Amino acid sequence: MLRKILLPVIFAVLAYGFWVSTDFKAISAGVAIFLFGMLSLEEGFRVFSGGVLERVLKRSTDKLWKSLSFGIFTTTLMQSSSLVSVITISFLSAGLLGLKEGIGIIFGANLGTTTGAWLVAGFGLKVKISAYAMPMLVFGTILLFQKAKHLKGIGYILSGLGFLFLGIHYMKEGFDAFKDNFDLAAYAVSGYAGLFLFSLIGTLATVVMQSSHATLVLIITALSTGQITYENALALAIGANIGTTITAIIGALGSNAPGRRLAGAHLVFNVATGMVAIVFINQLIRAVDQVSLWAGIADLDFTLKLAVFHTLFNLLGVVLMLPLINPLVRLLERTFKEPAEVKEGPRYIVASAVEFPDTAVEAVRNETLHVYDNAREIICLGLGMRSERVLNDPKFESELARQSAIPRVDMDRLYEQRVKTVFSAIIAFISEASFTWKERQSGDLHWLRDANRNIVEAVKAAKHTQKNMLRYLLSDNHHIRKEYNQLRLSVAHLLQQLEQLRTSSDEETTILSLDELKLAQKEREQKLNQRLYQLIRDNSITPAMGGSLMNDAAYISEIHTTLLNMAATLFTHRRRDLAGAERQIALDPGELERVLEQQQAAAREEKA
Amino acid sequence: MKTRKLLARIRAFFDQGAADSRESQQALREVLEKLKRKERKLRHNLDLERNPEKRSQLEQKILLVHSQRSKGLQLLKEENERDKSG
Repeated sequence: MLRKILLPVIFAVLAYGFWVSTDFKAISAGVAIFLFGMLSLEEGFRVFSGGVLERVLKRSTDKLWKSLSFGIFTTTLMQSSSLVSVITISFLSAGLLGLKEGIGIIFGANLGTTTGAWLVAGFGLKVKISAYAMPMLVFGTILLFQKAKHLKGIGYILSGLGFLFLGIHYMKEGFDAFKDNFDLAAYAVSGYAGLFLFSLIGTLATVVMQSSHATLVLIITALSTGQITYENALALAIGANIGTTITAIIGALGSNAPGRRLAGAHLVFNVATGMVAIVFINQLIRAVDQVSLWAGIADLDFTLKLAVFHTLFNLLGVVLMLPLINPLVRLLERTFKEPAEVKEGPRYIVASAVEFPDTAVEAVRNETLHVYDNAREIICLGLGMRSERVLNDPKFESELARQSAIPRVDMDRLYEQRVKTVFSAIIAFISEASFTWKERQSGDLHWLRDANRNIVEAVKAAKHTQKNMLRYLLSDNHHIRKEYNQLRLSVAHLLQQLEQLRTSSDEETTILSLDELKLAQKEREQKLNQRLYQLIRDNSITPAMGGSLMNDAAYISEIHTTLLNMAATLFTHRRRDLAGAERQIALDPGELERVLEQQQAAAREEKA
Repeated sequence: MKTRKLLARIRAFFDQGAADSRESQQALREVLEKLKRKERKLRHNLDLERNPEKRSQLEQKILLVHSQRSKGLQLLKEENERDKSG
């Protein structure tokens, strides 16, 4: 209800304001242009970086001090703590970051955003900023019409900066003219009542504009023209800091529990910092005076003093909250719990990840690993084995040989419960994501989709072989029993080798090294075929048994092929260009066959 | 010379297709270099190995890596020719 009437009310108030005052119109246009500039800048960073930001984020956030510095640096660079916090939420949701590191980035972003106040107060008000805006807009727009993505990105960034500068210029002009007609300073409220009132106004203004930066620029320009008092400007700045969490909260609405936890941390930090600032406002004002005196800022230069205040109180917040990170993490984990799963759903792919190419790829990769883990358990159960024993128990082979009873599991039900929902979610996510952009990451998503299809096919192949597997593994005929045990052991060995590949950090683990496993598979198939005909000829197994063995060997072969194809995407190194080259070089089945023939010919020659 | 280099850089900056092709050739070269090192190492291990079964395994690996290298070299040659004709 509130949401329905909010927009018309805002429109009505603005329309009335435009009708009453042309200066108000200029200020509002300034804010609108400024916000448009920020949107353009965000777009530019997305298009231009094409994932660079995300790659850097991944590398530079593994420690708390690193994530803190990273938050400061990126927010200073992009001049938008909101963008940084939304990206961080999507990272956390995709499982790329821990909550603690995410909180570090958010703390850093709060400090980084204070550089904006310095830029506007120190530079924006003293130089004719619109003079810089015009050329930026012209060059930026020309670049926007270029086909190359990186040129377009530069275009967005340039025009974004141009609009930011132009917006500041209009706000300044508006306030300059405004002060001749009105004196907002007459409405100043002093004392704690004023502090709370103006903090609330600052919060609301930032919620509406979804940018603390825009609010701060408004405050600084209004302060520079004497429209608001210094004290009230401080309160507005505190409010802006609280209001800025709205973007992260909106971002977290489409996110999972980790994303919500981070948005919660953002809110807790900013509200707590704001409260401390309000309570200790007099001490803070004295500290600002001291710092200003030390930095050589004139006593009456309130705009620069506001910048000092903004930096000081955010710094105070970081100093106060850093030691409390661990209790905060525990509190948030208790508050936002992961929902209990009946049908296993996706863990990593969330709507907010779709917007950032590398995050989306990483989320799909993690989700595919999730599908693989579940599929591996189902395949093992279908073949009468336990996945954890296969991977961790060196004695599992001898135990399998002694197995006297094998429980039959409902593979269809397991597939529905543990694979299908996640698999479908991945396919839906990839369809949506690859529709959104045509970047290099689309190639990664193509391979990941293929990997998922391969995993599902492996489960289905295991299901087809289950009936005969259980029947012949407990057969009285030890020949057929041995052959079927060999078949399932070949799957177990493959799973072990894949697990080694997965956990190996070896540079040599490449798509090409999988060719060795494929060759071994071919060799084994050839040997089985030779044995099979011999067993039928010797009447060791019946022709019906032979037929079943042949069919099931084909299903087992399919498990090998599909899982090896999956491993080429999931378990090899991630340098996109090298992976592409290796896929080209990897041998196809015919080429592998020739290698095998050559080797057998050489072996025969040696014997002769 | 400096101007020519600068022009080449500017051209590369604006020509995404050529840059992609160069990148792909560079990647092929890098992979081939790794394979060459791997083959050399395997041959060295074969010289030291006396166990017939292990020797046979090593021989198979060498044959495989050699086939991969031949295929990679052929691909690189084709890309170079395509670049020259394009």
